Amino acid sequence: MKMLFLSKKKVLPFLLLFLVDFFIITGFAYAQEIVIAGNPAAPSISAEDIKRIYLGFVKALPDGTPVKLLIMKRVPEIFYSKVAGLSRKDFRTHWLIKALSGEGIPPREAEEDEIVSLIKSDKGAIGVISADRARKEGLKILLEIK
Amino acid sequence: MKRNKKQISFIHSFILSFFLSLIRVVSLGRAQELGGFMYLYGEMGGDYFSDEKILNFRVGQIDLLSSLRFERVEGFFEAVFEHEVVDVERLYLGYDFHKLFTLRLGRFHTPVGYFIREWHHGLYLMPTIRKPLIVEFEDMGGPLPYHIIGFEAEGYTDIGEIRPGYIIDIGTGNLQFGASNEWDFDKEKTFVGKLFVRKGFGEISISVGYDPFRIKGLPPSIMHGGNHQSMGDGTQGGTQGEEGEIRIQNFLLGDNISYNNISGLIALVEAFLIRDLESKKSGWGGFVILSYHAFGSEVIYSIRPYLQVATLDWQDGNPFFERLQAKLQEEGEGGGYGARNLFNKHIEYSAGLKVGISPEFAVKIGISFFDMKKIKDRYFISLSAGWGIPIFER
Repeated sequence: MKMLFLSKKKVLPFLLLFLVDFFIITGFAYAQEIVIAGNPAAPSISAEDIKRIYLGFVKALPDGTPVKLLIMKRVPEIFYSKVAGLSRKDFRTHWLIKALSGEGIPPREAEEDEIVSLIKSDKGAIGVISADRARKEGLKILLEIK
Repeated sequence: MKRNKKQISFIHSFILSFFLSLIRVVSLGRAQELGGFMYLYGEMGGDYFSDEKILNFRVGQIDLLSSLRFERVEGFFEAVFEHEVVDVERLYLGYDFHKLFTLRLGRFHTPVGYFIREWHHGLYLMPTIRKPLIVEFEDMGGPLPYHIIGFEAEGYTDIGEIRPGYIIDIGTGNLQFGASNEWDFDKEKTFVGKLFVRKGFGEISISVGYDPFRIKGLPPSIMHGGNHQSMGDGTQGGTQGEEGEIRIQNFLLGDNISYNNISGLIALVEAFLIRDLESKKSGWGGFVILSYHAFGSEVIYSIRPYLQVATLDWQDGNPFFERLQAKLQEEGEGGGYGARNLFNKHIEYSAGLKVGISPEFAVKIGISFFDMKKIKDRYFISLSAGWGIPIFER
């Protein structure tokens, strides 16, 4: 059996390059500023109410409009910790229980383009998207997540 | 739930087809405005019964549920597949007029207490391995009306972070002893109402209910004793019915204090009074559940130990309990879990562990001790595994 031995001289640079790239990319992802955005005609919502909305405890905007919850795919973990106060998996479990008991429909995960389109067409839609995109599309910033 | 063997009726098939067609048609035309999901839940397990020294393996229910929402219209469908039976568990349409008033029509879980609605099926999501007896399904000895077909009204308001609200159900009589999904041709109608106050993960509520039904085939000691006067022809004084039939009018009163935080503490205290207005005999019971998220990591999502103490007492001569005993003996179900219903004083102490591998899969192990007259030192050891699979999420 021919064994392929890789010398440290050959492996280490690639490993280092990979690690540097990995942390740059993930660091970039975590550094991405995200916001909760809504339709420009939507009423203002307090941070506490937004938390209650994303946990399914409130199902309508302050003006009574039924709410539609959206979360962008690959949303940073900071959304779950800062807004829901739960880990990503706990948030998932929380909504599995709510769905089973008939108390609501879990937030929809979607691409940013779809979220922007839904928010623009539906006053009740609120979604987690990047801050840059929200400002660029003229959406109402309901909550900045820092 | 156990029912007589039956195929899904034409009406059920039509409604199911309608729902599936609605998903398809609306999703094509108005995809962006439709929200909904479809999940499949299942569970299996095994138990060891100490007095009978029997090891029992079982496959539990498979639960398929789906919900749709379009603007202010909501629809919900749930079917339970158990043994050879397919049960339409929930099926309703509703309209959200205002947060103070949502109206639904169909088949629901009643709003009695907290446990019944929160952890009905999908048992792997429950913090404990087994339900306390007082909130068990009707066909497993549970005395509360869990299911109802009729109207439901729900509403709430917000006062700061506090949310007071109500849920009211009016519909068919008891679905275990009286009505069925297709037939409710009598004057016995059930009412259940709940007033609640919620704040975050906590809830305090009070429930009241009126659950009348007729029971057939009671032992002679019940048919000719108590407050019922025999007419000599097998019927009871004041109640017109078939021979050997007795009328029960259960009045229910319950309260609950609960805190249900999936990432931390789950604490639940519920108590109920069930009084038959005909015989003036009562039953009462309740339970305490404590569970805490003790550990979690990337590999094991959650480890939750739990403690549960549950009790259910019946006054001697309560006709509902007498009929339950007779039914168990007729069907030979006095063993295993059925033993919980054999005696009118029942205390169960349980402890166990729930290990969540992921939000969609969990394994539980628990041990339960029973303190019942005539049977001491009886215990169960139970193991169960359950899962929830999303089929459609939108």
